[in-house]
This record gives sequence, C-alpha cells and structure tokens, in this order.
Amino acid sequence: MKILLLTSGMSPAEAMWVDVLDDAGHTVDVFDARSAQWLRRRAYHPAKAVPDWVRTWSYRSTGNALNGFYRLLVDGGEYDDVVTSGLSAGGAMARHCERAFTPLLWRGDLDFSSARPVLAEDFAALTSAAGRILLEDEYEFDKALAKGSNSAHLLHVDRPVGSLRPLLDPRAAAETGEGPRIAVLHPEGMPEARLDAYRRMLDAVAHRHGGTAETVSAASLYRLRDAQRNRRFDDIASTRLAGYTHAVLIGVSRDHSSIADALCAPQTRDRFVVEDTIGLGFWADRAGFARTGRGARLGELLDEVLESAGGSAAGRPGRAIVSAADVDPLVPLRRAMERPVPRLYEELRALVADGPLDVFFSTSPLEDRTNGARPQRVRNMAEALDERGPAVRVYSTPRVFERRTELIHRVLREGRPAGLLYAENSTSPIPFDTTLDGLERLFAAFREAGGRSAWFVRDLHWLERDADFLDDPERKQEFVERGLRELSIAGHGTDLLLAPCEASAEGFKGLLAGHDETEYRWASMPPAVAPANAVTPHAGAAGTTTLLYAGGIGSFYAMDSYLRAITSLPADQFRFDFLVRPAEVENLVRFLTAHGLEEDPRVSITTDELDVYAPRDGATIGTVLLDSEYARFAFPYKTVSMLEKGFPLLTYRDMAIADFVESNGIGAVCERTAESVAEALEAMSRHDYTEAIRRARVTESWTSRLDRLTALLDAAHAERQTAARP
Amino acid sequence: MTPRLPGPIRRNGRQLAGAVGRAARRLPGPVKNVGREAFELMPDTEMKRRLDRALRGASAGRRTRPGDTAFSDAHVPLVHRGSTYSAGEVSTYLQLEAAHLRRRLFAEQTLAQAAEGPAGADPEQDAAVRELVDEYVELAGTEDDADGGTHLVIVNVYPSVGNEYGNGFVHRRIKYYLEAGAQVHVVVVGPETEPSAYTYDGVAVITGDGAEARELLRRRSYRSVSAHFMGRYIWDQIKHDLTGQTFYCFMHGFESRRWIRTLYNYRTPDQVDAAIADTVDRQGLWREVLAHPWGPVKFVFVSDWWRRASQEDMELVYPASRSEVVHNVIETKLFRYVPKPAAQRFKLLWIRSASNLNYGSDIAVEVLTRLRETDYWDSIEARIIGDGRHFGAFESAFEDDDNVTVERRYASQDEIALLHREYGVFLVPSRLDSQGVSRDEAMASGLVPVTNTVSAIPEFVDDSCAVLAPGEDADAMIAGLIRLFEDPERFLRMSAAAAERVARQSGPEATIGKELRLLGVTGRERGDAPGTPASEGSQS
Repeated sequence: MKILLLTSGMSPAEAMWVDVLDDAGHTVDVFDARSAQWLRRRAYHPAKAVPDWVRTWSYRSTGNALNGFYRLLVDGGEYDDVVTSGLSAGGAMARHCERAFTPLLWRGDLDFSSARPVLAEDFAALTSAAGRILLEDEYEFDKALAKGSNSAHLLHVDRPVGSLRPLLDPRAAAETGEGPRIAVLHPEGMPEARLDAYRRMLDAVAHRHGGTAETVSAASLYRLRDAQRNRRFDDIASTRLAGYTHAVLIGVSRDHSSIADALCAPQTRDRFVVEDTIGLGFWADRAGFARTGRGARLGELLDEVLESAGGSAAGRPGRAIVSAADVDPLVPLRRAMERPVPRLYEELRALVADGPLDVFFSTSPLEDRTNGARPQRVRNMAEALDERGPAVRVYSTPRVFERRTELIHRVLREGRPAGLLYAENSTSPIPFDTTLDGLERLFAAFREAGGRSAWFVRDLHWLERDADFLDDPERKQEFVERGLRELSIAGHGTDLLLAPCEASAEGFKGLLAGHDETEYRWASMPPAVAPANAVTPHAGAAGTTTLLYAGGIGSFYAMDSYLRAITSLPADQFRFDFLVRPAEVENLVRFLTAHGLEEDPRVSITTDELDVYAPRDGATIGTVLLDSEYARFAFPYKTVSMLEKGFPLLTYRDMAIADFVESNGIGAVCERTAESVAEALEAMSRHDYTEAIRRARVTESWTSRLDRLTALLDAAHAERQTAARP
Repeated sequence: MTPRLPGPIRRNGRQLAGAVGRAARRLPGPVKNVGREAFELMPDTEMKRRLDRALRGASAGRRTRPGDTAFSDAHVPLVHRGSTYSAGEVSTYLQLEAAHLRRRLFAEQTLAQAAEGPAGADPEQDAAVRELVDEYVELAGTEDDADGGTHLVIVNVYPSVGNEYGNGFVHRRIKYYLEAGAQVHVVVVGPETEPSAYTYDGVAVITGDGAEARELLRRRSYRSVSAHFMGRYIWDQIKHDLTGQTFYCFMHGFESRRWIRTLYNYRTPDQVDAAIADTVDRQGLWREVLAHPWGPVKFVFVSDWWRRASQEDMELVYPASRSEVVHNVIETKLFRYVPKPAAQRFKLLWIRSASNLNYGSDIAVEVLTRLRETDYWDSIEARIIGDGRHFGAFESAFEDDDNVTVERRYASQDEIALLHREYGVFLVPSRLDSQGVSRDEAMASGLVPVTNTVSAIPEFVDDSCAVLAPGEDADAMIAGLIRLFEDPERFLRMSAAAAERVARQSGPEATIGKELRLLGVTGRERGDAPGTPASEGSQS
C-alpha cells in the first residue's frame, strides 16, 4: 500500500509509525505540514517541489492555491491511505483537502490554552472535517470535548513492535563493567527544577546499586533532522540510549507511549518503570504493565527492578524478522476508521463494560498532577471509582457536560441500570446555568434508573461571614445565590452530601443555617491513600530523626511555635527538612533567622515537591500544624500525603484530623504550645509506626472510602424506602 | 421606419446578404477596401445592417452580451494592476493580499457571531407561533412516536395553489419521501413570509419568518432535518435550535457561488460590487455553517463538479466525510423514452428560462441564425418556449421564420413531456449548469441534447449521447448538428443512449433512492455500539 503520513514535526511518535509501516511492506511518504517540507517521498511525485507560498500564513484560512497544492500532494501520490499525525497536520489536511484521512492525535496535542488561536483553529478544522479522531486515552477524549469536539473519539490502535530493534542494550552496558545506568526519559520542556528533583531522587536509588541516573528528553530519541536523513527510529533511539541499562519514563508527552511500546519488547520489558500519570496509567492498563507509580513510589519501583537485576543481558538483539501479513498495523487502523460508529460516539471503557453504569462528576476536570489537594483528590477518587468498573467522567464545562450527560441519559434509556454517581464540587460554585439544570436532570434520571448518588462539598467559604472573596457586593450576592442553588440541587438530587470530615460537616451545617434550612443527610469522606503514591514504610534505624515541614510559611502555619519547639530538641538526634515553594524561601529564612537556625547544619531547605522528596536515612516525622479556625474543621490533604510517604505525623489535638491520626495510630497529637510540640516529637522519634501506617494504608485507602460510601448509600436508600412505605 | 417586405422575400434577402458577406470576406485586401467604400455609401437599411454584420463575419443574430455587461467581454488584464510588476508578482500579491484580508474579515465575523445569542422572546408572538405549529402538526397528521421518525424539510419557497412554480423539484422529492412511507414536515422560511399552514398536493406546509421552524425544531428530535437553498437568513433563524438534530444541507447552486461565474449577467459596476459583497458574505456564512457543532452532517451537492466548484468559490473544503453527491431526480416515468423516428433529428426544441445568460439563450439564437444560412434550414423545424429578459432575442431574430415557433410562456412538466414526444433534438447551450435538469429530462425522453462542455455538463453527457461543443462555440454546435442531420442512424443511436444514460445516472433509484438512504427514510443497517443515538449521519 502507498501511504502518506502527514506530520506536525517529527518525533518518536511518528517515526515509530513509519518504521512499523515500512516493516509491514508499505511504501510511506512523509510530508511535514508544519514546516511544509517533504521528509520522505518517491522521486517522481508531481508535488515534489514545494513552493515557498505554501508556507504563507495568509493562506491558512482561505486560499484555493494551497488547497490545490494539497490536492496535488495527496492525489498526485496515488496514496491508498492518508494518515495525519498531530494537530497541525490534521488541521492542514482538514482545511485544504477534502479526502478522507486517519487523524491521530497524541497525548499533549490538546494541551493548549485559548491564547493559542492557531492551534484552536487547527482543532476546529479537524473536528469539523473528521468524523472520528483517534486519541490515546479517555483523558484525551475529555480534552477534545473541552475543546469543542464534534467528532467520534476512538482509541489509537496497537502497533506491532516486534520488528523493532530493542532500545536498551544491557549487555553492551554490562561489558563496560559499570553499574546500572538509568535513562530518565522526560517530556521536552519539563521545568528544570522538577526534572532535577526526579533525577536526584532516582539517582539516589541508582547510587545504592552503584549506578547513576541521567535525564534524556523523550523527543531527543528522534528528531526532524533524523527523518530528513531517512533514518529509522529504532536505530537512532537505540544509538542515543546506548550505554543505558534501564529507563524510567516520567511525566507525559506525545512520545511517551511510543517509547513505552518499544521498551515493552521482551528483551527490555523488565528494565523500565513508568510514572503513573493519567495518560501513562491508561497505557499501562492496556499494555498489562504493572510497574507504575508516582513520586517516591517510582524510585521504590526502580529499586525493585535494580534489586532483581532486571532483565537478563542476553546478547544484543537484532531486529526480528516478522511476517508483514501477521502484523500489518494498517489493518487495525483501517478497521478503526471503517467500523460504523454514530456521530458522537466515544470508545469509553464504561460503555463496553457490563453491569450498572457508574458516573464520576467533578466541577473541574482531572489534572495530571501529583501535587495540589484538589487535583489529587479528584484524580484519586476518579481512579478509585474506575477500580469498581470504569465510570463515565463528566465535568461542568458545558461542552463536556452536554455530550457526556447525553450519553449517560441514552445508556440509561436503553435500559442499563444506574450504579453509583459520585460528584465533587469545587471551591467556587458552577458558573454555568446549563450545567446546573443538566445536573438536576442527571440526578433525577440516575435515581429513576435505580442508582445511588453522593455529592462531595469541598468547602463553603463563600458563606462565611467575613469571607472576602469578592469586593463588589452585588457580585458577591450573586455568587452566594449560585452556590446555594448548586447545593440545593445536589442536596435534593443526591442521596448524601459528603464533607472532608465530621467536623467539616458540622461546620457546613452551621454556615448553611439561615440560608438553606433543608436537613440534608451528611457523611464524612476524608482524603485517602492512593496506592500509586504509597511508599513502603520502613522503621527508622536508631539514630537521627528528620522532622519534615512541608507547606506554606507564616503564622497561619504555626511557624513560630514549631521553630521554638525544634530548637529545644536534643541537638544530635534531629534534623530539620523544610519543603517550601521557591517564593517562600526568603520568608522561611527570616523565620529561621529569628530563631537562630539560619546557619544550623541540621536545617535543610528544598523547593522540591513533596511527592519527589527523598527522605534522609533514619526515621522521618511529618508535621501538620495549622494555627487557624479553619484547621478545626479542615482535613489538610498533606495528612494523607505523609501517610503515603510512610511518615508518622504530628498534629494539634484540636485540629479536625487529630482523631484520624490517633485512631489509626499513625502519629501523635499535641497542644498548641512549643513545649507540647517538642515533647510529642521526642516521644514520636522513639516509636515505630511502621505497622500502624501499613494498616492505615488499607483502611484509609480510596477503595475503602468507596466501600464505606456504598454501604452508607445502601443504608440511606433502605431508610428512604422504609419511610416511603405506608 | 424601414418598410417591411413579405416574409419569403426577406428570407431570400437574408440568404443573399449572407452569401455576399461570405464571398466578400474571401476577396483580396485592396478589392475589399473598394467594396467597403461602396458599402459605406449605401442607404441605412436593414439590408445594409445585415450585410455589414455578414462582412464582419458576424451573423445577424450575433450575441449582444458583451456590450450589455459591466465589463464588456474582457476580464481585467493583469498588466493594469501595475506596469512595474511581473505577471507572477501581480498574481501573487493579488492572491495573498486577498487571502490576508479575508482572514481578518472572517476573524471579525467569528468574533461577532460568538457575541451574538439567540433572539429575545416575544411572549405574544411565541404564543401565536405555538398555536400555528399545533394547527400544522394536526394538519400534517404526524405522530410523535412514528416508526422511522419524522423528517423536516426547510426551504425558502414552496409551491402553493396559484404559485405552482416555487421549487418544484423540492416538492417532487417530498412526494417521494411520502411515497416511501415517511412522515414529513415542510417549513418555508423567509423574512417577508407570512405565517400560514396549508396543504399542497398532499404535502402539509407551514410558513413564516423562522419562528415556526424554531418551534418545530424545539419540539422534537427529527430523524433528519434538511435545508434547500439555505442562505444567511434561514441559517440565522435555525442555527441555535439545531442541537441534537441530524442536519443535511442541499447545495443546488446559487447558495455558494462566486460572482465571477456569472459575470456576463451584470450590467452595471454597482451590480458587480453588490455581487462581490454577496460572495464574501457567503464565504463567511459557509465557514460558519461548516464549523457549527450541529452544522450539516452532510452537504449534498447535485454534481461532483458543483461540489468542487463550490469549494473553490467559497475558498474552503467540504470534507469527504461530510459531503455527498446526489443528482436531482429525473422523472423517468413522466419523461419516458419512446424510440424516435429518424425524421425528428430536424425537429429542434428549446425550453428554458432566458432571464439571464447562464443558460445561453443568446448562443441558441446564434446557432439557429447560422443554421438559417445552411442548406438544412428548410428541413428544420424549431420550437422555442420560455420567458425572461433575454427572450426577446428569439422573437426578433425569428419573427419572419415560419419554421421557427417562438412562444413567450412557461410550460408545465406534463406539457414538456408531451413536447418531447414531438421533437428529436434539444438545443440546450449553457454557460453554467450545476446539473441541467431540463436537459436530462429531454434526454430521458430520447432527445439528443446539443450543449457545451462547461461546468457540470460533462459529468452528465458524453459524445455518445450528446452533441458537444466547447463553451461559447456555436460553430462546433452547428457542425455537430449537421453530422446528426446527415446521419439518421447516429441520431437514433444517440437518442437511445441519451435515455439510457439519464435512467442510469439520474433516474429515481440512482438519486432519490440514494437520498432516502442518506436521510434514513428507509431502514438501513446499523452497527451501533451501546449508547448510540437512534438516528445520526454516517461519519465514516
């Protein structure tokens, strides 16, 4: 077959497609739409000369000349199939050529803001022209909806990679006699500080095995210039990874799944680990790949791989001879394009799954972050729900909301029973009337179909008397009214309202008094432990204990009390680590100076995020000490972050989390005095919390939260039925 | 006023003038000059004028189009864009600057559209509309939960008693839908259209300024919604209420045509200016329609040529997944092929509108006029039926020819079908046809068309079934006709081939059958995945 691959630049994602199509015996020409140049073509192509005006910006939205050029490009090559890769290529093909094509979008292609009108135009053109778009995972489906997609969303097809040369060559590396060498493959453009934090964390792991970890940009494994020189992806990537014995894929990029696919070859499958980003987590599920984790858990997984001397160094494998007929990647690609699907179909796992339909609603969409309380909570809860069986995800953005709720209504109308609808609000009320109206209908339909539902209330700060979130009284009033309407819809439409903890629930009831007198049913739903973040807790060997302070700096965070306390601790038994945002380092130094700690060798300041924090040897104790009224009914997410890291923690007795800490035995509580803090820390340094933390990881996991929620909902349902009986 | 001579004498005079002209053009240069001087001395009579035209090589019926148009017959020469540029530079800057300006214009239009919301409600008018729609739904007798759903057709004009000529072929389509068992709603939308509900020939129709269409769209999820002759007005009326509907847009021709294609129709620079503005507006409109989330799942064109031409005219691309070609249906039962007697090759028929020059009435006048100068003229019998601004050219050119009957009037479909029985050749020159329905109807009846290979025409005819000439080329048409006159077998062969071609390409099965399947009027195989809508356009 003759295939035209239209690209948006050239990186491993495209290059691997070229390799596998070549290996299957196809003739592949490659034209880069972004730079308007041929990267590969047959000598006789009638559009072989690309005039300069093809690159002219003005022709983008109007120009028969450019349309004519693209027609010549496509028709002149007499191609059997046209495949576009990336947004620029898809947009160009959609704008300039009427011929049907297979549009592939990669992770990250849709991560652009509205301030990028060119990309927005490309996507608008693509979705207008392409009845279906092939995306890498459901998270990308969400993004496509948010960008206004009118197309059906299908998943990328599997590419056979058996014909590719393995990217890592452990035997050659072993011959050098050095320890393991880890390639930390990262997205190009990843913030340097964050990347360095990963490198240090993973290097520390490698160091334990006599090796090193170095960063390598995923995109650098194949560049545009390699395509211009007609080089193969596997040749170039394996050359650039020469000497590396193992790999860790961190972050996410358009190239990550291609590289992960290639690394999944039998010779290297047990030599790499993957960060559990949303996208790569989806990839791992599809590939049946289990070595995924986030933050420090990633380091632990690498440690396990190195411990097991992962991968036998069985000779430098050449390229396998594979029969083209067996593994032609064009076959599934064509099948995906030709399979009859309705206009707005989405290849969601929830639709093909059996059993009652579960729904996850969140005001704000999922974010691929391992920091931030709200994003982590939303993501972890969504993933926990998926463990019961895939759920349909819905967000408040009208474009996403309308299409997904339409889908849910349709499935329910078709007779599938409703399961669990779990919803989370945000710190601000939903600003879209259509979404609020739609939620009301959705809750009613779900209840009608026999489903159970719950609505998590993050906070009601806008009801606080002295809340200063808006200056304009009229706007403030409008904001409050909108929030109350949202709460009323949720309170009446769902079976249960959820608060971060019991104290929060009581606090919310108090705030609602005088505004909404309805007696809603409340329950607590604190944040929980995500297995992907969980590092095995180790009992600290006798010796120095590290006190970890992670968070903001200021009186709100009880800094003075904490610093006074630690200065009173025995000098040779404790070290003090501070994890703060870069902007707060100066402030912290001021506090430290005030307490005579600025030059103290026991003090270490880092601006790394908590997830990649590599603890020092010995035990580590975390602290969650908040000095405000808010703390009395809040459940700081840091609490579970510490638990995930395996650190016992200290908190004030009157904080809402005190009971959580005490009942699980995962730390200690103290009074709001420096003496009490110091006393508690000293006592904690002598205690082994390992077993309690292990237990709490199970009892306080997101899965157990869901189990408890299900039980509560069943009870509420039974109660309602009893009450309804005459 | 010149005294009028009896017909046969005038005819002989015209033939003499033609013969003199032909002979004079063959004379050597100096002799010609002497003759010219003598000619100038002749009195100013009709004979002199005919002779003058003959000497210049033009026939008596020479088209007057160039002198009537705003741009004469010449396009603007590139050199007038600046003597210091090369032709390549001129072409490039014209295109790129135009593209740049359009890009800015469309960006502004997009912003304006985004700021615009649905029109505000007028409770009194809304109540009246709801009442009319209730009345209409009762009149149509459609059931909400009918199998196969209901199809909505939106159109700018529809026939009614006393006004039978409005978009007759949309009406024919709907009759086919009904025949196939579909429930159909028809709504006429126009800025000046009075609200009403009526039945015409078994079809229930509701009319109004757009509120009625919106109310219908809000009330139910139609199996299909299709619009014919959609312009800015109709689109603005319905676009906010298309959510969830499966919308089809039928592109007949003028909706998305660039002004240059009908340059010959403009008589003043003002008309040209207005036409350019109209084109640019339409380019903005179709961009908006194409990008609309509930815009057409299919743009349906009457010919592939028109699909391509419309793309070029609107400077955009209709994706393959969203465009379809469905020819206008030719009623092969009405325009039935009956084998022709060979003698009918001399019987020429022209039936079309001469309201503009698209359909080349002036070319037809020229062809007939020049046939008059041939030996076949006396064997020829021609009939001209039509009306319009340019129809007078037939009347003045052939008022004295007994073998040419010129009738200024419209003819009904039934009458045309009967006329087809009596004639063997359909004279149908053209400058612009997105299909050419009257030609196809004539072909279906077995008439051999004489036409030009311009616009969509080659998609529907070839030289096995038609006399073909390049655009504007009356000579080639005459030569083709003469071959037909001289070869009765050829005529009979072409006649049969014409009927066969139309039956195959534009008969009901190839057109309406396809349309019914496209709109889901008949049952179709569906491979729906779970959670799929009941009716949506194919997107493969």
